[in-house]
Amino acid sequence: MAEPALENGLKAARSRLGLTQADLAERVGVTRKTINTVENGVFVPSTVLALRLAQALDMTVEALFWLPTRKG
Amino acid sequence: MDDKSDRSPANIAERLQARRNRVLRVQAVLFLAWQGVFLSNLRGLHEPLRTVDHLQLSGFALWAAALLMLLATGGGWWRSRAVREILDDEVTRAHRASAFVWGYWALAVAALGLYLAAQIVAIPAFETLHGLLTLGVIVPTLRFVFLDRHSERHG
Repeated sequence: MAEPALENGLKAARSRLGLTQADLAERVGVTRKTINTVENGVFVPSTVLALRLAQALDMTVEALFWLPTRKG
Repeated sequence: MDDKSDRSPANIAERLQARRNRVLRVQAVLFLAWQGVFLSNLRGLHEPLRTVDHLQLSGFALWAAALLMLLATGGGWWRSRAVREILDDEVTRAHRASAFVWGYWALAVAALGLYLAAQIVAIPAFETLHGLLTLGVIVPTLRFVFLDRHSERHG
């Protein structure tokens, strides 16, 4: 499987606040499918969505998303 | 789940999204199956068209337009703006963009094949247009359904 273009701590941050994917989706104004795809690294969110996710989880975007570290 | 949260824009959009995917999947299969009817009546189309033929072909065109419109807008036409915005969120738009790219390539490759074939054999205009229209509807619809189902199941 290809390495995700962007890694994230969405699931951990969401779990820490006791939110389900549906809860977070409702806070951000997207479908649960969007949260699922972002969490699993299948979909790279736009800057606006990344900011909205960070805001909903009371984090900075940099703490929520980071570039994968290069191997070798 | 209480009634209030059940009627929230997010919950309504979730239900509509699942319904949209079901409708698109079933309609795509029916649309393809209907091609069998068209092909079996093909010989008759070269004779003067009867009213029933006109109705059948116009119905097909309307069906194709309705499917394309559902795909292009995301549906939920009679719902509130909040519901429509969730229903047409970022991942849905990305899936639609990919679906239309697939449709574009299917049409381009088919047109290329027809262009080359036209040098050797006569290409009947009506049947060709019918085939291209079918391809232009069915490929993006199936691609969209596949992507949406896949992201629901596997993320």
